[in-house]
Amino acid sequence: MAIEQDSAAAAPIAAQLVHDLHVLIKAAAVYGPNNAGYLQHSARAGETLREALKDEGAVQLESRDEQLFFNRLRIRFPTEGTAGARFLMDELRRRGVGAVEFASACDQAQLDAFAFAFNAVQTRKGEGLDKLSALLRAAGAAAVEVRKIVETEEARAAPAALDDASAAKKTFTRALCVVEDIMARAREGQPVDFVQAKRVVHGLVDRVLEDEQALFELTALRDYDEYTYAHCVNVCVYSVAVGVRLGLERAQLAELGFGALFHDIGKVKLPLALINKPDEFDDSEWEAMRRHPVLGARELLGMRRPHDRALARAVSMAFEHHLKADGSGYPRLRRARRQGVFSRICALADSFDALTSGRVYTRKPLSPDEALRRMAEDADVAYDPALLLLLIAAVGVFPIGTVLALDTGELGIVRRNNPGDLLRPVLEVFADADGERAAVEAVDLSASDARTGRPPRAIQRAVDPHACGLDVGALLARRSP
Amino acid sequence: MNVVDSPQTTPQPKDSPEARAALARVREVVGCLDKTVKAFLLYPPSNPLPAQFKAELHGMMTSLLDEQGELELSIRGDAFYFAEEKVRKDAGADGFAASLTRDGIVKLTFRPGLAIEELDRFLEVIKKAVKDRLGGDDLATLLWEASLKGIEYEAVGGLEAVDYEAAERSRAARRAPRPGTSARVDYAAIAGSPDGAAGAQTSAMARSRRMAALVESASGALPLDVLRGEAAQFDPLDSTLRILGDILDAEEAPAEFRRTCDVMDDLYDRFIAQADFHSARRVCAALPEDSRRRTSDERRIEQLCGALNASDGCDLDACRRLLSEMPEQALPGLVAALGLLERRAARDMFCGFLVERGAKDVDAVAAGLSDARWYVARNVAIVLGRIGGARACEHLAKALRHADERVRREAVAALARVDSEESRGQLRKALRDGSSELRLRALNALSGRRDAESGEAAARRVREADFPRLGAEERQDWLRALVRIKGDAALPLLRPLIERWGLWGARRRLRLEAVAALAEGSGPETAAYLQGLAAARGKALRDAAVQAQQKARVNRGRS
Repeated sequence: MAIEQDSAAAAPIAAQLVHDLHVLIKAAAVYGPNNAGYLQHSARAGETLREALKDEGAVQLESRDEQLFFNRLRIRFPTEGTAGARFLMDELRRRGVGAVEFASACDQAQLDAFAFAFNAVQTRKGEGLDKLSALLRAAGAAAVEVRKIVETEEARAAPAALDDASAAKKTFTRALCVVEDIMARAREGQPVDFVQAKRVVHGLVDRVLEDEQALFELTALRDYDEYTYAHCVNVCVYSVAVGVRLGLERAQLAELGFGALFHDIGKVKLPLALINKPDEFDDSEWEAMRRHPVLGARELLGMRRPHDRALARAVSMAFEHHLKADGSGYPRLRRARRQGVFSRICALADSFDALTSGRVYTRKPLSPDEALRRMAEDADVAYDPALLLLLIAAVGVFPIGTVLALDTGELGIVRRNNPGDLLRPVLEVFADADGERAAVEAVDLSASDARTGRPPRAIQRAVDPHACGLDVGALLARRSP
Repeated sequence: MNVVDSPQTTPQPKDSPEARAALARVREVVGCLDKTVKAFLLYPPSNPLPAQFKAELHGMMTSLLDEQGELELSIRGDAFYFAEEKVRKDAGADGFAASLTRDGIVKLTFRPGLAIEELDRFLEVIKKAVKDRLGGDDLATLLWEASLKGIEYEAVGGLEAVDYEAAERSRAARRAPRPGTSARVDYAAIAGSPDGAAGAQTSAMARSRRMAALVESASGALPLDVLRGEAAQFDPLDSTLRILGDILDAEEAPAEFRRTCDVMDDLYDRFIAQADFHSARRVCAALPEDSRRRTSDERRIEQLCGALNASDGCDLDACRRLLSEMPEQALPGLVAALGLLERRAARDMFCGFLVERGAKDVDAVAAGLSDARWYVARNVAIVLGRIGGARACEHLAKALRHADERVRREAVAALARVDSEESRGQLRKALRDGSSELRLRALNALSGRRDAESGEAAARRVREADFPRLGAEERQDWLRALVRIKGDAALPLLRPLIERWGLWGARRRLRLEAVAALAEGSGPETAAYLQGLAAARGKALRDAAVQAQQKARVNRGRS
């Protein structure tokens, strides 16, 4: 069977495996285990399964929503392959099987045991998953597991009921999971699921257009353990927010977000010890680190989607996001090269997130407002001043997560920005000079007192939470009633 | 992913007359949708049928949506379902529903107020997704980008499998306190004593104010149009190639240089596999010399030919431009490729290119004459003939000795196209070939050039005793060649054949053939002789002479 090459979905081996399994099951229904015809089909299916196991370690075939998934990636069948997929989905459903898992230890004998056990289940008598499991156990097919059908209709309808904050959290968490998966696959040289990445970016773009502040709040949760993944998602969110203010079209926003999500993919080619090194880098380590734009561009180009516009954007963003207008930055090039607009946006978002995270470029994280001020000082050399203003307009002069001391002696953390008044955000006051409050209080600094006609509180200064031992993540996790 | 959250059309008992009527209308609308999609896929934009169907569909859809609210269709396999009832099944293997399923679309919802422009965009998206799969974007991506207000979709990917709540819980549990944060915080110290001098505070606040003022004042004056324009001007391949060029330029480590070359090689191969010769040419032009040399590897030439064989209607001009980018070393491989190309148009294009490129290196082209495949040698002979020149003639002379007559025949045809003493010499040799057809081709070519030696050869042949026993066609060719070359001097040879008495059989045919051959002569003696024959007593002879006179006039007119 000719398999349609589509790196956006599961690997072509997946469609081949489905085809071979469906033929094997049909053959097992007709022939005995020693029949030459059966053995031929069995050998072919075994070979395909072994190949898949070699690539993937373990294989899960899942039937869900009238689709088949191979290790969570949807299989896109060529036209001639749909009949086999249909057969397999129908037969799995009849047996109440949602997924079949083949562990790496699955050999030819266990595959044959599965094929005959599958056919031995008498669905007319109401037998199903339990019977199949028992038959597999009895046949010693320990490397083959069957799982029950998971109903996802309910789960799919759930987002409609979520409020903005929960929807943002869901989108953000999904993005983290997908980035983690992408990075892990890229590190192992496995194909990356672009369709999933694009859908994640679509979700993030939709959320930014709907309510970017809810996402900004999530970007402010500096997660020490998941920095690499969270950084990619954060840069994506900030970039898209700038793109929205620039007036980019929806498709362009998706390209921008996609590129931002992949901007640091070159780091998967660097040793983990270097990426996670808690101390300052020495010269050779910096030199290695400075190769990640080149490695990233090459990694993305190696994904073999030469006509994918979004991927070409991602290549340029991965390559250019550390270049600077004055020729400094890296990678060092022989010819002068000007960053593209998307790369300039990505560079801003990357720097802002990196400075406030304190991971790579400085070990001491800066407060968000301080990071913006530093960037503004470098704007003529390192950043596009116009785009920097758009970033400030998006995240605010006091971005979400900034801890502010008020003239009342209270301490509050910025929760939202007032787009019309960047100097007066909405805070959650969590402490006064006497100590931490039991219940946080939401305070809109732009709201005027009815009696005086003036805002009752004013910002005295921004506080460096890290210097004071405050955990921004914990503070953001607390909510006023 | 768009999630449909509005209630579906008011549920009614399935077997009620209203429900049946509603179902029938939905079937009608979905049938029209299917028909319109097919028309969009089949017909060019200039054809009025898609627009006609679209208007019809919009009318039906609007009426249905106005009456029943939104229309929610589920897609499973190769069928559409409305309220769990199958309303349409694909007729063929790769129908509309199957296309949607392939791209993970499980639900389509049409909302009231659907504008015809939106319907048009929807149909264009479907067309793009089905027809242009090169971009790699699936239908869900394209539908998202189209941002249709009146048509929503639901797609499955792998994302539903992510238990985001569990992931979030695990994330929260793993969230370690940042180094440096302590359990006890001295709030009084933070609130009371700033972590900087008073001056620094003031300065920081002043900077914040300046930043806010700048954002507010500059927002109207930022060069957003310029930036947007710059963002829109993005040529993906150009960008990629410039990046690769910059990487190669700056790369000092040979191994890394090689890796980047591999990426470029792979890019080139991908474009070839997709028969996108235009892009492949651009990559080829950007390849470093070593990589460019490898484009002529046997495997890659085979790939190129495979792509040409597989894609009917691919851009052959672009392919020819790609061949022009290949290094000179590619020539032998391209010659051998003549044996791999299945489509005549592609072979013609290759031959055309080899004529152009081969003029500089005739020997490299001519090496193809030794190819074991006769059809390669034959095409090479054609190419050499079109290249012309002494060197090509030398090689064609070798081709005249090829074991396969089809090759020798093309060699004669090729030599016939080359007007030189050398080619004439080779053609004369071909007059001795074992194949009569080949001899005649050579003879015709020589007689066209009034080759005196060939005239003598023709005279000898006509005099030979077995001449009357040759095939009619061959006899006629010899006779015509004789007259064409020797002119009036051929008359003494032909007159005995014409005037020798013979009423029937071979002799009669030979007599009439000799008269017909005189049409090739333009001399006064031949003309006078024909005039005399036109008044002969015998009707057959007279008719043949009149026909020859007429033909002679036509020939003179032509010349």
